[in-house]
Amino acid sequence: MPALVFEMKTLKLIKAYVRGKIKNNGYWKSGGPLNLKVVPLPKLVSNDWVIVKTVYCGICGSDMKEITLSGNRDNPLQSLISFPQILGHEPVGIIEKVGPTVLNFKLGDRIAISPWFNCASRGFIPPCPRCKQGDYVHCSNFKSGQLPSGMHLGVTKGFGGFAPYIAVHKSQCFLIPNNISFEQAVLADPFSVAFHSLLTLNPSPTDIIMVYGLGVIGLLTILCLKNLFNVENVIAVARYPFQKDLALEIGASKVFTSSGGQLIEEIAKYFNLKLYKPDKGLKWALDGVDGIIDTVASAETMEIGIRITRAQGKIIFLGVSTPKRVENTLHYFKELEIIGSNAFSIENFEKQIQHAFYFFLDFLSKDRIDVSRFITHVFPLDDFDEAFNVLINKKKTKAIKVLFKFNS
Amino acid sequence: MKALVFDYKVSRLAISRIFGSFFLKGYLTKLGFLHLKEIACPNIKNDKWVIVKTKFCGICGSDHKQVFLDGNRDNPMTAVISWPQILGHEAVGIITKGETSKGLHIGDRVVLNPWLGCVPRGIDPPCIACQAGNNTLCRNFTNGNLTRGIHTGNSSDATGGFAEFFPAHNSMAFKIPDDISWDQATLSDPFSVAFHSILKVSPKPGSICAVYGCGNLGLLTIHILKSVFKEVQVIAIAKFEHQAKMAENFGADKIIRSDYTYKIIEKIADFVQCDILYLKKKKPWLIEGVDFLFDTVASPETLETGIRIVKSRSTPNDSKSRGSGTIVVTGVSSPKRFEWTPWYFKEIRIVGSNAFSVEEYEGYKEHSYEHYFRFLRDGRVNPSEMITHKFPLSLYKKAFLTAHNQEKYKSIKVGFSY
Repeated sequence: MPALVFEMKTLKLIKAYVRGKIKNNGYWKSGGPLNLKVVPLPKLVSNDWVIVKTVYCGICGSDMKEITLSGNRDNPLQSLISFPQILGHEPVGIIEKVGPTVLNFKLGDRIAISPWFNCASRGFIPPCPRCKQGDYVHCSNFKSGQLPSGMHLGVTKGFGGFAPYIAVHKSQCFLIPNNISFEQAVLADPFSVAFHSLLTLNPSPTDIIMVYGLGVIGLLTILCLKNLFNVENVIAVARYPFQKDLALEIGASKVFTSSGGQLIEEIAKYFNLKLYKPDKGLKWALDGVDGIIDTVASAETMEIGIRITRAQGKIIFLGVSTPKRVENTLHYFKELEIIGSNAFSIENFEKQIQHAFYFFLDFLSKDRIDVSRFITHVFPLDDFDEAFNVLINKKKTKAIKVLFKFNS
Repeated sequence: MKALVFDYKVSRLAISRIFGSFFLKGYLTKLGFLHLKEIACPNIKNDKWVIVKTKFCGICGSDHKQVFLDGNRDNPMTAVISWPQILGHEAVGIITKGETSKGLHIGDRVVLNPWLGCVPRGIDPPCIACQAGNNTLCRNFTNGNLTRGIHTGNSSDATGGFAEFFPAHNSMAFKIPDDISWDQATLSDPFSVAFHSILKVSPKPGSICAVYGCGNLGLLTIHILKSVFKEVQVIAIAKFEHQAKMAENFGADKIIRSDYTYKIIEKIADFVQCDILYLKKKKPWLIEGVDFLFDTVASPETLETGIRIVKSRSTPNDSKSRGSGTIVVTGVSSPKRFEWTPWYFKEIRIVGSNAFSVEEYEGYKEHSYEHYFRFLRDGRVNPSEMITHKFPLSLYKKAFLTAHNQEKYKSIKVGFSY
């Protein structure tokens, strides 16, 4: 079958690096690390696995970061992954084949796939203490068991969603109810990332919450804040006008599109904050927003976030920009709590404890959220270069979520 | 009176840095910022202020960082301080002027609470932070009847203990009980900083805590964890031999001494019995690890190592109590890049802790100094052995070098005695 494969080969990486510096699409020209290749059809890894015929697979920001070689050489997560990779970790599809011990799924079932491997996927019985309590993202066995090293689909040699067939363990499959379309269900992963980060923040309806960055996760965060957490006052920072328009439509009270010192001034003016002006560097306030969901987590967003969160407020960051120097003195002085948020797993909300994907499918079934406006572009896998072009020219293309679609 | 005056002038910055880069003492030359001068005694500002004759004043880490210009010009704190300054905020002494203040009399032994919130600034009603007892987060550090400044020593009006006399608002002078010595009282400020940071997480019995850095704050953190909190295991990460020894005296269960962060990480893994992941031989990290880390250094190196040795957080809904997977930072070093990817991946919570204020512990809601006095009286703590060096003010250069070069002088708490 054809699959979009990323190889970690020095010469190919250098080639892509040089070409990419000249022109963006140089990163995915053939001969670089990323190529559409013919790979063998996936097999059942063991008796409790299934084979899924892919219908859609979303392209995530982290895929784009890998493709555009924006990672860092000292990123310790490299110790957990393996190559060559079939990229893609946001797939939905139809069950094509089930292992003999799979009783809860049958051929033809429509499913959303959680990309995270857990101890069960790796053949460990009993599971590690983390998996036992449903904390799959901190599993002790990312490097052992019956699979190659890797945390999830897309970063584990041979397992990924940018291909027409995928092998997964039954515990990673979530049945899509009949009243929910594939086009809705394919947002399960980014929705769950946003939902999980908000459970870490745990905002009360009267808090002022700021969403930093309005890619698909930022927009879904606003959606959750308004529809699930009933937060009255949600503000956001967007890069592009189309993101701002959509954020306002789904309930943000105010969206800023500036950056740096200008952004601090505008936020201070909006909330009537007293700003302190140091000898050099950015101004800052002791009052400000109660919490920030920082979906960018770059040096700039961290530095500004620290300056406009109220003393003893919280910043939740998700996302994986490359680390740089951050002037972080106010982290201690304002007694801020800065917490990382990674993916999702078993969540606890409204007295229910279940996987984030079940929450998502429930919310859709009960019409508590409307995700119909986030998918902007769909391409066949063959046109991957066009899909990536659309994603790196968001200003022009107004892309939010871009999908690969596979022939039915 | 004799006073050590620190007057920051951009024009002198370059020359100080040049001298300082050749030898540490270069920061202390006549062309630098710090001078021993004869100046007028501080005056009483109004009937709520007293004048204290300094008995002893400790040198805080932040004092010698300032003297040796270990800061960055984009440091946001420059917005809330004023010049010239007489440093020194860990001060004790005897009231010599100011009779009317509530419960304070000439001749009383007092310890300074240096924070300059709404009350000393004469602002009524106080801001939301001061109302809640958090005067370290006061919204009026630049307002009221004092010059800009967050605490004694960095407001040009509230001069500090590196002088023979210092002023204090009656809310800032805590009477020292008769059975508490000068040395014990002098440590009220750093003790409270450590106590406040521990209360950010209040580790439950059975927790494993690591303390990064064994200067004043680190040692006091270890001392409190072992003697005030119950059944907490403590790993001390110490740089120097004499620090390790004192950490052991204070009851640390495990001492890690290493110049290499990868060895620290490996030793933590060995202590908690967890797997080690390697990117390269010298770049290990852990998904499991200690429950809590108190980072008293907060340099890029300790932050990078810290997020590798604290265990992953696993309770997203537990927003009230701060459970495992938490780092408490009690300060800051010059910010630089560090590799922070595990911070998000392990979902670690890093919470800042600034000084101290009114704290709630064991059913008592009172100022941190009162808790400290109570612990002292009950014989639960006694950190006085940490005061290793006392100098007269005239030997200030020697005092700062002693405080700064901890390895050479085996120093922990250094101060000026009068």
